[in-house]
Amino acid sequence: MAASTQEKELAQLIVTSLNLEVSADEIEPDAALYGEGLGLDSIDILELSLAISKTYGVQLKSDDADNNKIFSSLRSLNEHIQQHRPK
Amino acid sequence: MTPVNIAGRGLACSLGLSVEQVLASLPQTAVHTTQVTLPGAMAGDYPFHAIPLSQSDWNERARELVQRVAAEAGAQQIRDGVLLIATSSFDIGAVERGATQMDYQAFADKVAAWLDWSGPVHVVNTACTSSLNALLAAQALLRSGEATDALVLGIELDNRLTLGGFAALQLLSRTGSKPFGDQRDGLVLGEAVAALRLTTREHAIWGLAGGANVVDGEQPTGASVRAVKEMCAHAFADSAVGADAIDLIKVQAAGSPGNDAVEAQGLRETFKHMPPLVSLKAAMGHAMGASGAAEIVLLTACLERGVWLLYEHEVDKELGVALATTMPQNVRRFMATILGFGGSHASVILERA
Amino acid sequence: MTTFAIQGRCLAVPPPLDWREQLAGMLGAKPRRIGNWAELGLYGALNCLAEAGEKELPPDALLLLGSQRGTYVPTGQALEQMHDDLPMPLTFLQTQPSQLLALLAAQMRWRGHAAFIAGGTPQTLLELAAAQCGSAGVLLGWVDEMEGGGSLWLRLKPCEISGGKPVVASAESMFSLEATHLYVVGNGVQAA
Repeated sequence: MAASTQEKELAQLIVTSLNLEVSADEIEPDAALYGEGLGLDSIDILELSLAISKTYGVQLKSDDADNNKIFSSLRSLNEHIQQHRPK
Repeated sequence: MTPVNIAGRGLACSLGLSVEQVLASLPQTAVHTTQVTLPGAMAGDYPFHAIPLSQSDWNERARELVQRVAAEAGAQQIRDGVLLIATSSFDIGAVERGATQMDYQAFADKVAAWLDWSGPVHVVNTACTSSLNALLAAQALLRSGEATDALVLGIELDNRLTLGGFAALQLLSRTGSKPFGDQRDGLVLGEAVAALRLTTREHAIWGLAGGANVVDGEQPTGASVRAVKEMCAHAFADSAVGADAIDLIKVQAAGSPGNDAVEAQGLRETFKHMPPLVSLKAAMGHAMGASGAAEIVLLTACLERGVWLLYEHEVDKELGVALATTMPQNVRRFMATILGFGGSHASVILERA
Repeated sequence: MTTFAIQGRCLAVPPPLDWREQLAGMLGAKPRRIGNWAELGLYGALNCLAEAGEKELPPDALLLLGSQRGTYVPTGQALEQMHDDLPMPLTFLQTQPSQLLALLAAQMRWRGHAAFIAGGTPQTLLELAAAQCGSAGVLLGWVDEMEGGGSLWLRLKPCEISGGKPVVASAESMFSLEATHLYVVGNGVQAA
């Protein structure tokens, strides 16, 4: 399934804030962000969490038990952000 | 080898402006924190151990604290000795207020001028382990005969960068420091200025037997078990003592969920019989680059005066370690460890004459 | 007195135009989040070690890093970010000079005694090295990214023999292609 506009925006934020070599279009919505896939680690996740907090007003905690699910893919991360955005 | 002795000490931290004041307030309560409010995305209040000295000008406040603490350690007697300043934040608090430009050398010159220092000056920054690495450098300079006296001066004073950075890395507790605690949820930062005056010219109650520093790049923001073990082994070798000669360990144990567990495991795998453990972080906070010197000053004073710490939290049983709730008797040798940022693991061994 | 033999060096002042590409080649990928100062430090240290013919730094060698201005640039950036919010985690990490020690250790697959000394001069750094290092010697670096930048590194081992006639050394002669030995005498450093 192709990326939605919201997902494309988030992909751009990931690429810019983490200084990734890939372009935003290359991030598959369902591919893994951690380890295999994009190859992000825990420090990247901290950086991304703060960038997301600043952009979307959604706080992401490093010790959240659901982090593996939330950060599992671009799609799941976007869903989490959209659900928790201040209205 | 020439013995290196601790001939003087001075301390200012959240518990007071001198060793006497700190000792007097230590048994009363473990909570000497104020709240600091950080702005923005992770907004909120964080506990912080501030030195109880009000003075609006950052540089003036720093000058007063440095002069007090150095004088308490007897620094005026050795102004031509080696000065090793240990800090992770320099005078960044003054830079933030627009009062000073960022400049390592100007900072070193400023502190030297406050102390009317005429000898060589070095500024050591290995983040949390700065003062222990300054102690190791001082010991090497004194052992080599390059100098007979040195002052290790840890300086970590009010600034937003350290607090903000640690908050951004989600390393800070919002509730309080609970070393090895079952509810531990991060560390609490603190201010400290601490001085240790080292000499090869006179005897003293405590001597610096040796120590070691091991940098492991595997974890840029934390500790590793293998490096804790190597640090211990190297410190034993440098001090020519075995694990069974250690009567007490001052641990890092700042209350970090991951790091405390790594430290506990490293110690369990090093010591067949675990010596009593003590953490000072709940009492004075984690004073980053000043913490090693500050905690050695406080611990040596505690051991001499029979003053001990109160812990108000439950220890995590899964860690397989315990904190000494009463003062261990007849401590002849203790290890003082700081683990920190930049994968730095440092420990020194002090010996009672 | 300590006599050091110079086993390898990197004198990249200023670094070559393609140093970033060279570094990416050495690392196998372009570093993306460690900052310019740390990249410059890595570039020099890895080149110096290669010139010394060492695949790895011995575990009991000392790693000493000095700098006049160290992490001023990322510190300025972090202070900017902090006007109304927290600094970004990676920017804050870049403000800590000791992060470069960790990066070097990881890259060299090495664990050992490393320290950053802020300010002073290359000569005072060498004096500390002479007091602290054992028979495995020291990897000593002086890295600055401002004003054109420079990454100066020496791989030094203590030795018994003496070279030519010692001359009083400035930082320039410490970091010159001519020197083969450095003498550390009391409060002075000499090169030969």
